[in-house]
Amino acid sequence: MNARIDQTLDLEAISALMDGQLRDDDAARALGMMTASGQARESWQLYHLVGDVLRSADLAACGQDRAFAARLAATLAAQRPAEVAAPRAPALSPHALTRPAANDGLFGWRMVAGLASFAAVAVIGWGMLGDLGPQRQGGAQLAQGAAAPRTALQTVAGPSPALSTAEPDEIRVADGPAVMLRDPRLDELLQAHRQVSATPALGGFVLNATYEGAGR
Amino acid sequence: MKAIGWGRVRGGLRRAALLWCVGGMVSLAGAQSIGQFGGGAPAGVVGPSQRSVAEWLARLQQGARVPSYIGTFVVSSASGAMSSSRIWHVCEGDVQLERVDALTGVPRSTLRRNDTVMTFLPDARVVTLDQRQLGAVFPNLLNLAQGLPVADYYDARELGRGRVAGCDAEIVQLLPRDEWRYGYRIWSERRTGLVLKTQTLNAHGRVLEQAAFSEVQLDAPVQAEQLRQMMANTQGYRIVKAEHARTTPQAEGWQLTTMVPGFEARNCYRRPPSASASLVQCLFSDGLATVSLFMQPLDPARHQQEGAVAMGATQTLTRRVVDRSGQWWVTAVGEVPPATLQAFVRGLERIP
Repeated sequence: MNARIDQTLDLEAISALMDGQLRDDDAARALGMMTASGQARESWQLYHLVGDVLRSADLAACGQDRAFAARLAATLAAQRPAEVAAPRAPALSPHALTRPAANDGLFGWRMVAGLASFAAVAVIGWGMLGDLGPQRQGGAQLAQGAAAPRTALQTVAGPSPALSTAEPDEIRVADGPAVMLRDPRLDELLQAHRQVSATPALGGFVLNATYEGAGR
Repeated sequence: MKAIGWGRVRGGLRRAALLWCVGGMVSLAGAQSIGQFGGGAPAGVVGPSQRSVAEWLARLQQGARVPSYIGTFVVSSASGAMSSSRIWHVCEGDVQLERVDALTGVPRSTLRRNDTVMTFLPDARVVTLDQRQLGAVFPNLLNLAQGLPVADYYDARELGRGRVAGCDAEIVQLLPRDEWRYGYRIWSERRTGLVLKTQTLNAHGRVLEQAAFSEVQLDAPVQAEQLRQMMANTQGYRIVKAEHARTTPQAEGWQLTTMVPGFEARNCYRRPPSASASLVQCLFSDGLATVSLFMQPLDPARHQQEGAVAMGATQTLTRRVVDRSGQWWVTAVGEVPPATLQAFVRGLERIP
């Protein structure tokens, strides 16, 4: 670190700024000086380092954090607000509800997310999915996502020809405890399916008998 | 100045510490993988002995025949739904007896003796009885370890060891070779093969549903006789017998013009057997996943909204099918991706 400080700089103002003693115009002036002068910023850094070392020797390692500050500034500059906001826009569309959440391993989150999305899904669920037209578009998006390398499918051998045209729709409808939102006749069919579909290798009977609603 | 020097020293120390840690982890992992397979494998065998898909399925099916256990089982889906139950299991020779008491939802107790399933609903004082052949959908893998479709559509990858409900488990991932089916991750008890935990994964590797024992006591003192007596004691309950007649899609006027790769037709039932407005259920399986196609005459008052609903790994798809003879209501249900159900329903036609 170059400790040579230009004495023409108002070092006192920097010190005062650090202590929170400058207000309004004075603070603005000090900040303007810091913005303009690399040496002023170096002084700011050095003063903090002095304070840190006085408190604890361990904090001395922070002395050369200018690189970090530079990286942070560069990252912030690179992330223009418009770019950050862009991916969020589709999240407001009903279709986004049909996409799986990214917080996969966290079932706790799903409890919250599932309940929160339940009301919306109840409105959109059957109506929107009644015609799979809108789903096709989503299928294409998901297919693009599937093109990215995934550990779970790394060994998939050869594409199935029919599959490229068959849209792998991901239809997500929450099945929370509010069973009333479901069609009781559909529940009946689900039960009929589960009664005979117990795969022994996958928990089988025990699994299917555990599902809520299996006995109704 | 000093501070910078110290910083560099610290940086060097930090890098050294990092290297040491990584080295330690690598050697630990090495030791673990040696220990992992050295314990069970015969002396002289080095490295893992990978089981095939068929061998894994045979092992998992064998695991369902452990002499006895008592445990608590939890199923949770990606949407947050959760169900749990208390399980008593005993196996004597070829007879499997199980009792599954629901801990969530409507109080119910399901008892099974091989293919006979009784569900007691104490609130309604009703017991349902179903005697369909559960095993008919899934052939006995212990006798048919080869030549199953499942071996051509999944790959097995062993993921090492883990621990579930206090038991040491071997973890295997069954990866689908195409997108017509889901993948599975299975934790199998190391000694007996009992399935302790399963995860159903979609094509993006996301967990759609998982089921696991939260605690299990192997070789627990479960009295087979007690379970038999419970099944015999239906006093105070109204018995509702599920009537199913075996049939074929052709006999019911249906045909599948195209078949989803890997799936084979299994049993087909009509319910109730004699009624005119009957419900036909045809089952298809690839050895792991099952699809049910339900066909019934369209009832405009009841069947209005076509659509698709997902519940954990279970997908449903409802469609109206119209032909010269009338209108039909088709519902596809299965633990498969929605596209698979669509393909099934698209391929379904009335026989002209």
